Amino acid sequence: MADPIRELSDLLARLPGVGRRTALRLAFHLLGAPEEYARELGQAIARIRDRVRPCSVCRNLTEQDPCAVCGNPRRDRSIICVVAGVPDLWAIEETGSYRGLYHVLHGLLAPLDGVGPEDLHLDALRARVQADGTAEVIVATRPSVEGEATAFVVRDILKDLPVRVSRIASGVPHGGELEYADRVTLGFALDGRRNMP
Amino acid sequence: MDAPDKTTAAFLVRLVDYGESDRIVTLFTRDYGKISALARGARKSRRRFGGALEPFCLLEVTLASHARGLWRLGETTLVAAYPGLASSLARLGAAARILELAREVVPEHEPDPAMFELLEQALPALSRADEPHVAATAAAASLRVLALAGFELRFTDCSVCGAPVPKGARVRFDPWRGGVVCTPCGGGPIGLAAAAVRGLLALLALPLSRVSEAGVDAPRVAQIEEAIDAFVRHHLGKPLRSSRFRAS
Repeated sequence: MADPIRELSDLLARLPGVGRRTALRLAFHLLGAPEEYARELGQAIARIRDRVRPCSVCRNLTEQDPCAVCGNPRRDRSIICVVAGVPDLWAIEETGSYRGLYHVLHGLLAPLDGVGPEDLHLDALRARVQADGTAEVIVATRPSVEGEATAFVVRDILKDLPVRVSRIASGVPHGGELEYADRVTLGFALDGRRNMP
Repeated sequence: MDAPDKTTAAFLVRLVDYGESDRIVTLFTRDYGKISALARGARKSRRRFGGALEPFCLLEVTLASHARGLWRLGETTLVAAYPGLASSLARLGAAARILELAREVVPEHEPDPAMFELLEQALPALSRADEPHVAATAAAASLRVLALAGFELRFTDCSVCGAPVPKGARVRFDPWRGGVVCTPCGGGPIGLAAAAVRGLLALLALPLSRVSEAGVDAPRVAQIEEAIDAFVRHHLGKPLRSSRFRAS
């Protein structure tokens, strides 16, 4: 095999979710693709490392600082939604129903892996809430032990500040079948029931 | 012909990404002991395992033999969650220490129903423990985990000469010897007040759910934890990753 192909294939195989066969297939695909595409891809990969940085306000990954969300004057600055990672931020943005700001933790508490509160940029969140007089912090971490524990830690670090801390709802997914829901999820859904308007 | 699938109760104690879309999970199971299993597609879709691949929960797993000796994880159901663990860093950290300790000291592929039963008792006990009693519950559970794994720490007689420890005396604990060591035998680096030893024996005499009744105060529990930590560090050659949560 020609060395440049092997080199690219080896590099692609180090990407998460890409095995050796897929990496080789991708390398040959790039070899056969229009030259302009391959060049743009290479430049985009270089740019992502050169230009993408954590937003100094919310730690979203961004080329401009502050990020597009923090820099948008039409966003509701009285609400901060706390998420574990940037993909979660994007998922919430795609709903189109949230107009507040974000704070990205870049992880969840994971005691079995040695990840503690000091690894989650919580001091920066507290400083923001304090400085901006935020009215509400929504904790949108996933409904697992580690996600819930992270939510409780967020609540605890903000408890002496005049801010409402709320938690996203959890339970049976929209369109899901009750008979296939596990008993824990169903239990949470029942515990978290609400009055109908 | 393939062996039939096996279903057993399990605690997840480690999760590692594998290949393009899979994960390798380490499970402590009721019937097969500590095993590793391949969870195919676990990274691509949370639907595959219904979000059940979570630590700190009791699971029911279906296992199929795999060609390379690795189990293949099939249907996985969340049987019990312990909500009290998530609401307190102290409780979550304690539960993590117990699961991590069990993960580290238990050999693979050796069924240990007593250890499984202990974990089944420890997680709900910690989940329900009042904050002041979390450390004592965790210490009692840790000592039991060590004992079941063959590391019963000795506190009532010298680990070298076997002489009984005089009642009411302050003793020295030596993690290298796995217990207290009397002065003539050289003592040990960690001091334990007589009240700490009494407290420790009281903790071990009670079920984990009733450890608070032992009435062991925080400074004594801290001494007991120091001795356990030192032993674990010595035995494993490293501290537990979750041990930092005690200080948080």
